[in-house]
Amino acid sequence: MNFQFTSKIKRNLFIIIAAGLAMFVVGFLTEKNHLYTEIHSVHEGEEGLLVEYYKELPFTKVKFVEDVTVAATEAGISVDFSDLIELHKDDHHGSQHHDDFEFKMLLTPHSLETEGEHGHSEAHGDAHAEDHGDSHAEEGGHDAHAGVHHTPMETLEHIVHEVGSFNDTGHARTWSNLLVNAFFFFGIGLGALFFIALQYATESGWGVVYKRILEAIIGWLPIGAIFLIIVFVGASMHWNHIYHWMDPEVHNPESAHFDIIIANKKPFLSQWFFWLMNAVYFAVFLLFARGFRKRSLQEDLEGGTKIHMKNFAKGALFLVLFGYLSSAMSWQWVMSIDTHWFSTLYGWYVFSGIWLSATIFILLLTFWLKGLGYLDFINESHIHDMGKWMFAISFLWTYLFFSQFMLIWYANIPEEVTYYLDRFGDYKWILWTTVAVNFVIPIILLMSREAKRSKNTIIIIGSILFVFHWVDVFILVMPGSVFDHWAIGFLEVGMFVAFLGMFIYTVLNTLSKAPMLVKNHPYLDENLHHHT
Amino acid sequence: MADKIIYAMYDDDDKLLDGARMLVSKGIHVNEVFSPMPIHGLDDVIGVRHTRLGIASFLYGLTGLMLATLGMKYFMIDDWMMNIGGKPSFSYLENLPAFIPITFEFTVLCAAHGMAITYLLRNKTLPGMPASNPDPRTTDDMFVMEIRTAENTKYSADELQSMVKSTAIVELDEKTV
Amino acid sequence: MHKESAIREPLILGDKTFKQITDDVCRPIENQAPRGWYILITIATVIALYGVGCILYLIGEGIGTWGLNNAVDWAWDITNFVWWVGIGHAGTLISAVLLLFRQKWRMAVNRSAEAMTIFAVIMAAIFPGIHMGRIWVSYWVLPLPNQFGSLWVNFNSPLLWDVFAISTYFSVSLVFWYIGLIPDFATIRDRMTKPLTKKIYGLLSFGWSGRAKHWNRFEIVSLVLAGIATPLVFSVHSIVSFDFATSVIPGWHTTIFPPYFVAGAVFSGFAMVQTLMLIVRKVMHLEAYIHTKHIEYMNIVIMVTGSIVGVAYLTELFMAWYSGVEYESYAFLNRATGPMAWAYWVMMTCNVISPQLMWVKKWRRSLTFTFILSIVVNIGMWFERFVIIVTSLYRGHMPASWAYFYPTWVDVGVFVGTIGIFTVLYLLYARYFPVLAISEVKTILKSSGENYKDGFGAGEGYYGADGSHGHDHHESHDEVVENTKHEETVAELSEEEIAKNKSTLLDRIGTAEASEADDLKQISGVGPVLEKTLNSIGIFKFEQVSKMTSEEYNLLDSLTKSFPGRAERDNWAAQATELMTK
Repeated sequence: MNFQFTSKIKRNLFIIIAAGLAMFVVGFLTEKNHLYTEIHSVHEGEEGLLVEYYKELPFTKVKFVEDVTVAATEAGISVDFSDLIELHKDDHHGSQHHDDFEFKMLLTPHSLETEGEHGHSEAHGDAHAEDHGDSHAEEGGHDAHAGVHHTPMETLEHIVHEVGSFNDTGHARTWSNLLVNAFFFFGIGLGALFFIALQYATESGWGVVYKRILEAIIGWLPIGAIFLIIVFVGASMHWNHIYHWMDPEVHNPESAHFDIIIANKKPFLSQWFFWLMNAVYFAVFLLFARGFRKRSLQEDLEGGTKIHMKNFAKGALFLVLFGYLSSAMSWQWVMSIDTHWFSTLYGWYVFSGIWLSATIFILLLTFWLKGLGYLDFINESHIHDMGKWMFAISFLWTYLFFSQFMLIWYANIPEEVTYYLDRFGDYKWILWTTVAVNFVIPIILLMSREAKRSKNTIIIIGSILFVFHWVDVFILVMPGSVFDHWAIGFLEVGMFVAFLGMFIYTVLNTLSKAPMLVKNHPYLDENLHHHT
Repeated sequence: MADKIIYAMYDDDDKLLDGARMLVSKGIHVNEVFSPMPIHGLDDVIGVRHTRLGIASFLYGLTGLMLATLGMKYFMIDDWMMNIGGKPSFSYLENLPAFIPITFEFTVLCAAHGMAITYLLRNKTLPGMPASNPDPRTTDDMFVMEIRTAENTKYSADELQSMVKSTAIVELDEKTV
Repeated sequence: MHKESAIREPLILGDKTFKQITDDVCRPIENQAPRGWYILITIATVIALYGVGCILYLIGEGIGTWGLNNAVDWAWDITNFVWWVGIGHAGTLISAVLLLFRQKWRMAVNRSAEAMTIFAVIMAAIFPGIHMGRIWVSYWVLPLPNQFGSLWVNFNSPLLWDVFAISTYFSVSLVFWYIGLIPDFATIRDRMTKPLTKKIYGLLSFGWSGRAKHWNRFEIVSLVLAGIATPLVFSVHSIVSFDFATSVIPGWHTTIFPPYFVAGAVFSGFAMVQTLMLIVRKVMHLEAYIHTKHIEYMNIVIMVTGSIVGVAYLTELFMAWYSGVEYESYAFLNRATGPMAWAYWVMMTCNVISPQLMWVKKWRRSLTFTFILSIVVNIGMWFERFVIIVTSLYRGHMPASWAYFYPTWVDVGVFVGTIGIFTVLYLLYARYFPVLAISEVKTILKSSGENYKDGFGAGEGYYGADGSHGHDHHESHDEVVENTKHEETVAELSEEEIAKNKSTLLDRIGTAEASEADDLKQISGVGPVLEKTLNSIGIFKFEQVSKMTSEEYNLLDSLTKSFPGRAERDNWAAQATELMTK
């Protein structure tokens, strides 16, 4: 029986896509950004606000200083400005990395009303002494009523945030999100392709009933490739600046932006190699995807073991290629966003996320189709098998995350640890939520046999994990491309929903073109009688 | 009435399974089966309850997890702080990544051994325990079904015997307890 | 469900029955060991004793007798440790991971692979012990109250993680192995005739009786232990890799180490399994259970893990360049081109190139080729650890302290000695333990046995008329129905007909008196109850039985009712003829 892609389902999907797009447009139009700020301790007991300002942004240094001063005076504080780039102008060694900034300043706030910060806070501290006790006078000022900024530092932060907000004319958030979604959904297609090749090469019988679902998901690859190519073309044309190394200035020894570390990586981080490899990735993935699909349909008609043996050989060949290409792909597409940073485990970590997202999507789609009465041949044992994979790959993902993180944390060497410092700085809560959710939920809740067979458990856990593995990709991309300017708002959610709608539409469309159950597969009979 | 045990011997697991299905469908309670290997699907037929050893293992694991956490918190944070590799042990959370490997190992250790010991105790299979299979061939190639007359009072011993005989048995033995 | 696709190759060759499986596995235990065994154990014992001597000398003199120097302060000791731990991984992987994947072929090798794991981990554990220098205070690695040692042990240290990992791994593997052994020891116990051996195996079998409830628990315990052991396998070698990767030594500190060490461990472990199994199957005559298909499967695992290791090597090389860290780049450049490049290229050849030969189907199914390759891989994996450890250390940040590493005779003696000890343990195991998981192999006989896969008629006698039982019920439903019908007609016979059939039967085979009865139970398939039934018909003597042909069998079936076709299947007549002559 074929899947009936009814107009009702189509209509609902169009509604989802439209809603996503609408949210995205709202997000896109209201897209605001602000300057990169960070609180630094200047010297003992004194703090300053580090403000970095990119060239592309619609300010001038003079105007920024003016606006802050005016606003600060109104709020009752004074601010000292010290220009860090000016200070380090001659220090050629240290400033290379920071030459992208128009200015980089340290703002030190002082209270105008009283002699110093301390007296100012104390006044407020007294007011709250009843609530907080006398020993925490200063902190009492901090965590008092929301929206009221008590310390000069907080007032300053608020001012810089207001003054430093600007329209994201470079649309860094939009481009980066496009990469996140294009990569995430392409990854699901790729994960399914890997899974099907794995099953062919290992002569697995258990997954035969899922074959058509896998093939349908693989059907997304060509479209997913288009979105990726849009992002890459945008990067190559300098419409976006996701890939820092694509800026020719960093490779130019004469330029003030010259970056020796990136320049040394030129053979790998260059436009021509990037596009050469892209051609290889897309060619290999799409050709194998087409071949598997073609032979699968052919097997339905012809039968015999010839096609089966061919799939076995092609599956093994694909795995070998995938072993190399998946790592290289993740380096070029994602890891090179954090251009200086490197990690040998990276490719395998990204791959585990891809594989897991695909597995989760397979399960969710299976339950939906079962609900429509299509997959009666998939019994609890088949679900259990796929559930086990979801469980196991979650474990694998956590294991790889931990291995990479713990080793970098433990060794604590500067060239590596920057990666996590960035993520701890501005992405702390989202990073740890993601890790906790993606580890704790599957490990605890999917441990029992019953849970791996239960529809409701898998749908709930699967949906949560699906979203949080999207967030995982988000954290891979964003810290290197939009720095601290990230948010999850209308723009992000809208684009995710729109992509999800398009993805499901394509998958269902592919699904409707062939019967839901393969015919003539040598392991079909064994698999249909599969009970554990 | 004296309790008689009927031992029905089969030379094949599927024959025993078919036989057991037939007998159970007639309301006979099969007390025990002795076999040289696990017979799949038998448990449901003769009504062996599903074991809860898996849950026990989970609980042992949780205990291990807790002990490891508390232990390391005490050793490294409370009792004797050490600054190792520039990472002073001021709080458990700050040092958490370094504690994860041992926490994991200890959890596994407790889960595995706790379960194994419980398993041996529950089975009463311990060093020095005597074997209780009715025929030495049941650990080789024979499958024996044990039916007690006292548990099947709605049939007489002879009726039981003849019903057992109608299954594909190879031998029948009786023992009065 | 005994359902398996026909295109899958059988895992058990020939026409095996449950009985034969037991016989085949128990034969080496019950009979005199072959001469080859005595020769091997003598050689191994000599080597082991030499190794013990070297270890005692080492403990007496101190680790200065090793070839360590200022630059290379960790060499063969830790190399051997990692090598042995790595080898151990195959056992748990086969029994745990493949159990979860329901790979039936594991059953032929899991017992021996697990034994190998346990012995290999014991060998590994020797090295940290002896390299402490003061082995008598080795209890200091345990978290004991600090007035007992100097301080609490450092829980932040990967070396302590290792203590926990290795001891957990060893004890859990041991328990996993032993729980599987209990039913098989019971099988041996019930076959033994000598009181002493019966007593010993009785003790070892813990009184196992094969009750349904026990099997139920057995299966769950095996499954849960497998589930626990799987992440354990990953964790152990990951933690071993942390010994190096948490440091800041170029060549050691790289994030890919944990999964790459695990892949390498499985790679070397399978190679060792191949080496041992190819010998065991020959010496113990287990060719029917461990045959080309098993060897091929294991070769595929070697090929895959070898390829993963290859990808990891190349990733490391690439990242050493890509990182832009000059120390990192130098470490790798020096490995490949420096004075110890020979070790690097031995490693590369043995670990990256040689497993790729397995792509050729003919080679990976060749036993001789497999045997040679398995040894090549073992050598390669030893060199991998040597390369990682020594070539990262002998040229550190300060050229003034560069030094080449030369092993001493004690280094070599201790290493070779552990191979001897390992071999002795393994030979003892192969002699006195069931080398195949008897009960587990029996569970796959019907789905993967050659005679069963070929369908009806390929095997003689064993399942004959109701062979349908050995196969899937869907397939042979019709025959089951027919059988039932047949039984029904038998049951409907009137008493007159019974009497008539009885006299016809006795006319044909002759009458006999109860006083001159033979022991009919000697006929295979006749038990005490059936004997009674036969006697009640008037059959007492072998002579009568020997005259039976198919017609008489049918008559007999109509009288005994209970076992249609059985007499013919077991060929009672031929058996009786034979018994008459005795």
